Amino acid sequence: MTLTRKNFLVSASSFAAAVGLDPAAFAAAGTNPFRKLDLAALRKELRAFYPDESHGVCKDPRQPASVKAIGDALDEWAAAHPGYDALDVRREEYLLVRKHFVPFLFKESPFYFEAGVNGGWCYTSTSVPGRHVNRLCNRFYREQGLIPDAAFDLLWGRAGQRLLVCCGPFSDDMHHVPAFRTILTKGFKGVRDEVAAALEACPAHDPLGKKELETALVGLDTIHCIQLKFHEAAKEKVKGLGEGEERRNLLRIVEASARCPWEPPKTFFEALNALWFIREIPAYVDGLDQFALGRPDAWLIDFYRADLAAGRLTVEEARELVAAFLVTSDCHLDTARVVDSFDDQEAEMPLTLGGCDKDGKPVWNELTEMFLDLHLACDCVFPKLHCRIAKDSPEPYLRKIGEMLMAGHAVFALFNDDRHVAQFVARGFRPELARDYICAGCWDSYVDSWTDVDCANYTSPLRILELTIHRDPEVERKCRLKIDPIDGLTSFEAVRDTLYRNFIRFYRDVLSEYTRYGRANAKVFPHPVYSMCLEGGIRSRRDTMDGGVAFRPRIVTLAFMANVVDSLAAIRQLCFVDKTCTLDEFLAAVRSNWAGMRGEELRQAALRAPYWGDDSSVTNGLMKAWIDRVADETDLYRNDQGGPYVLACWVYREFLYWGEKTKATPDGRRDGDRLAQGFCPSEYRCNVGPTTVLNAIGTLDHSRFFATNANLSFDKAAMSPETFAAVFRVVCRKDMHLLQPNCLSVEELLDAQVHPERHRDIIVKVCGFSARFVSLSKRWQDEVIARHKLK
Amino acid sequence: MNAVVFEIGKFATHDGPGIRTVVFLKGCPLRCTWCHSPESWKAEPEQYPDGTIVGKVMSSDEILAEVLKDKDFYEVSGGGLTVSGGEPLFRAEFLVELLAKAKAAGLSTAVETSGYAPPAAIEKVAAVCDLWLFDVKGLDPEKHRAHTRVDNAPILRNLRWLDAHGAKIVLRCPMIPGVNDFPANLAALGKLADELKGIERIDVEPYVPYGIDKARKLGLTVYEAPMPPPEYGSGVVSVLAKQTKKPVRLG
Repeated sequence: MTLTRKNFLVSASSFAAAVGLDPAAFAAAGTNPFRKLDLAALRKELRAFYPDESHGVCKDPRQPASVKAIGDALDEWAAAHPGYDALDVRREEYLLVRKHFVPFLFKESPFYFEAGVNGGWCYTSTSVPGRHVNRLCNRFYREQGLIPDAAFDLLWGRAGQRLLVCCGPFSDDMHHVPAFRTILTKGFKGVRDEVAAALEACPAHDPLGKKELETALVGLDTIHCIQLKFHEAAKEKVKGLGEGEERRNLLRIVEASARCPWEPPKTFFEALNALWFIREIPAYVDGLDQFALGRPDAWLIDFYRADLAAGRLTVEEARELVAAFLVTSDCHLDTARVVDSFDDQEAEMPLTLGGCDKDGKPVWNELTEMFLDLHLACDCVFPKLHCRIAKDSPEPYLRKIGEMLMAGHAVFALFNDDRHVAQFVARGFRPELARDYICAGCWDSYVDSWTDVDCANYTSPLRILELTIHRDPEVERKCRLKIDPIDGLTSFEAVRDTLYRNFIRFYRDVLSEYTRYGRANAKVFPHPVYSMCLEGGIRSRRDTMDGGVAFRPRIVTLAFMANVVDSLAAIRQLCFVDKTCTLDEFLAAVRSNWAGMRGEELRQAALRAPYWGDDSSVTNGLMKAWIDRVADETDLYRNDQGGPYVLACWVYREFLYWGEKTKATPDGRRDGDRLAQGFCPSEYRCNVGPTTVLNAIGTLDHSRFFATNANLSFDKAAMSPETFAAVFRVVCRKDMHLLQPNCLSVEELLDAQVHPERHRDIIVKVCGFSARFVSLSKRWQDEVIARHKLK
Repeated sequence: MNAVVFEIGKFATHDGPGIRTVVFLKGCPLRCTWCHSPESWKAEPEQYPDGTIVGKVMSSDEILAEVLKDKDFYEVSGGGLTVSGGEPLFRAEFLVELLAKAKAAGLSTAVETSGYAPPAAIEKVAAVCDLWLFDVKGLDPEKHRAHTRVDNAPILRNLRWLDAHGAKIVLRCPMIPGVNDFPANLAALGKLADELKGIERIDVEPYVPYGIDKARKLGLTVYEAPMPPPEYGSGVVSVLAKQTKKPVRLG
């Protein structure tokens, strides 16, 4: 059955009823279209298994027990082999996984891949055995002199002082993307065969390469072993089962798990299951956060159509599988849990939909529509939907996204193909590869199986600005900063250039430290299975963290640039154009947190100054000048892998958390006020509409960035699916990387604070993740409402 | 030529097709008792007690330059420029100049008007206007005069002239509780819409009390009533829809 709007809405309401959301709607809606797959039961079973929060551990005690058993055995092994290196530990861990792995099969789930990997942050050795390697090998940093204590102290000190974030010591060890295409086309066996051939040909003068390949072989065989454990478990479980859905599912698993994904998938079911398996199992054995679930509409459409044509699959069965696929992701975390800090429910991996195929033709097919419809119908917060759009995307596709937004289902990050494809082509990728990029994490794009992007490294020009005004000798000493004062300067240009110099000194230090120490991680945390599945790994015989992958850029983010530009614009306007006050009087007012009548008077004047987002030549020029200068500087550096550093402009939850600790700034912010996200204007400043903000963002040269973020809120009263479609096309015309849209009304949000039970279905894009509005803590709800008050 | 602009509204999605920019010109010969923008009545810039100046003298080129900043949005949505007021026909020559320049720049054009203008003004503007958002505030002559201070006869004459000359028209009907929402007026509106082939749709625009504070600040008087309940507008739409074959929607 093709989904129409009408039967889709019936599906949505009856499904909601079936999961107990609204009994009245259930009674009215009639037959449950998901009758063959009881998703309420699946949700219940999965929620009893997965942890509730991002840092949690699987609730089934067998999972943490098996991880601990592997850890205990590794400790024993390590004690008996004191001269081990990280690859030795990795190899032993792979072998122990074969012994202790528990294959989890669910009564209600059609899939086989479950190892208990958290959908949030899986970087502890209590949740995945792959992280035991770090636990045992972290001491190498110091014992082998890989990274001096002083460098660590400086890194953590700067992070503690809100100057930077690095998601790992000198290298982001969190954001990775599974090698989907490699496995979907070759199977793990295909990779194993190539590794074995490379090992045979490995020159004697490369013992490290030989060891990497040997370890990868052990790991790949472990993955095969894990797959066969599912096969055996399903065979055992099906015994004695009478006819029914569970038996039907298990028989399908028995058949498929005998060969796939060791061998490439042959059916829609095998391919769909493989997406999960390829994410889950390498994450489990290598201890990697894998933040992507693939591109099912582009990659699986041929399987789907072939199965339908051959009579192996019906549309209804496909919908059931897709619904279960989505609900599995949605159950990885408890979306009813309050979201306030990093420990809460967030970070489940995104699914890429839409875009174009390798020949450049739009991907808008039966599966695109099915995944979109079922995401809404199944009331999913997760997986995040990273939808690729372009200037010439099909109108129904863009309107469908608009319809979902109008329904309060803000689960989207919209990636502009016109920018991302061009970006990969400019970096040397063949167009057909570039066109097949996938979206990952919150804002990143990857050519999976080819790139491993070290993406989460923030630097804060605003913190340098804050320290330039609110001097703190202890912090400057501890964080090794050289800050030149701006007091007494007699021209705006001198102020601007002094602030820039203060930042760029710090920035150069940071890049130099990343380059100097980033590669040390390969000796502490190698992941041979993952590395050998990536293009270049086998050829180079090196780990991805050791320069082994074809393309490994390092992305450095500039955080809170809107506040920096607004601050400069306020100083320029008040002190050098209007001459409302002297620079020293203005700085004194900022330092006093705008105390007294004069302070408030100056703050109000600062708020009237040009600001980022108003599309004025002043602020557009200030932003462009900063970006161009930092980008030029960035181009001078090579990263620890020999790849480029590339700029980004985004920020995660720090715009609230760091804002709470940031003192008053010249842009009219008071102590503790929020900071600005990505390329969004400050919430305290913006009184222009979305066209003006997008025009301002469009003045920048986006080719200087790897990724940027604009999280914009649209007033529901002004919007329609058609209007959204038009806005999305403009975003592409402006050459922006990414739009994260919300569509709500302030009245609805205020009502949701009073009557949460009436608004459980409102999902908002918070920053890199979405959440139910009613699940946000008060401070986050207030922040989202403040955004929606933007004109 | 110059005119006094009291607002330029970007990202307008209810004032003609697509995404539009609405330019509001100061100056209006009507004094609608329910007016939500009494600051538009006088043709000259004026000052609120807090010092805020309402109205800025701008040339047609300056306005157009501001409007064209959003050209990307018009091109992808079929949008463009809408000129409103006040009463934009109050400055008909300026309006013709502005709309002609907008059309030359490739924009679709629309005028939101009370229709109260000399026939010659209507004829000139019609040549450069793609869509008329034409207010019909009431068909009872006495009530119209009482609530707007002008006769509705010239308004209806202009409307019929536009229809006879092939104009595309959306009727916009402000709906003021107790003023023009009585059945006879709704029936007459429906009948009028059916008589005129150029009318594409009727937009019902329920009363909003947005003019009260602004009028008080300027020492003016407008009808003061609370916001009608949300179901008021949809109720009027359903009643009016039964009186006409033309589509009726909430504006």
